Amino acid sequence: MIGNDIVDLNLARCSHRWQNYRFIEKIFSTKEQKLISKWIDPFQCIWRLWSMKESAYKSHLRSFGKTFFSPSKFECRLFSTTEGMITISDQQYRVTTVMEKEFIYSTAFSNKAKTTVSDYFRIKDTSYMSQHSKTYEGLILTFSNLYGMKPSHLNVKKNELGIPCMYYQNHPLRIPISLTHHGHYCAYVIEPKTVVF
Amino acid sequence: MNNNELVNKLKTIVKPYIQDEEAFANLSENTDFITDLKINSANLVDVALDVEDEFDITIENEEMEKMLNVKAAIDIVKAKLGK
Repeated sequence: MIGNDIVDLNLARCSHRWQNYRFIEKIFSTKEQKLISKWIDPFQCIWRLWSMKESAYKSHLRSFGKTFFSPSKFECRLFSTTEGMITISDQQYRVTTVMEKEFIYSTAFSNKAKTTVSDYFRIKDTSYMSQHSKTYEGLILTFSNLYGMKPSHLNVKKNELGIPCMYYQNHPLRIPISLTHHGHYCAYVIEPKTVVF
Repeated sequence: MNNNELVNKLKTIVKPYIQDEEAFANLSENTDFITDLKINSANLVDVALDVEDEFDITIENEEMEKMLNVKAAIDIVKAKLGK
């Protein structure tokens, strides 16, 4: 299973909450708080860990089907500038993170996820409708190329838990997808599998 | 404070973070912060902090875990204020 999360760093910087200890305490474990305080750029570290937690939550939600909001329970470990791991209860998720000057993008995989197709891009209009439609358009186009399906036959619907699902002519496809957008940045990821109707 | 008053206070708190005006206009106890109001999950922490400030309470991380909709938020506030 997969999940992804993108953070527009300019937008994240607008809110000064990240410098507030109460905010930090609600999201990070004591161990993570120590890691942040020692980091050369605490702001970057905070949002890297956040995007790792959020992407792993999406993957976790897909596997277990239960919504909850408990970021501090998703314990981060960093292995390199791009690789990390999230542990929640007895589950582990590998997380790959792209860190650029303007955004941070994480993709989480459970052990079963082998390969993924992922893309991120910048948009001008930051309204929710624009973010939403551009992310969906990008995903549908890539998906249609991947499976040789007409884009007009594809659409994305979210279930009652907010998990997105790709539909082909109104038949749900059991191919995990995940979408994210924040400010000027959008991203999607597909876990390619054989199509089953 | 009755539920209506609490819903109204909560409505003022979540307003800066919502991304779906229609769902916000129709906000009720059954409204979900993420799937209905499209609140970004990082902003859910802001909601929790603003609720703490507004009602002068402390929400533990275990309590915040369930705070995904209006009803759950009201239940937490009521339980805290009732103590």
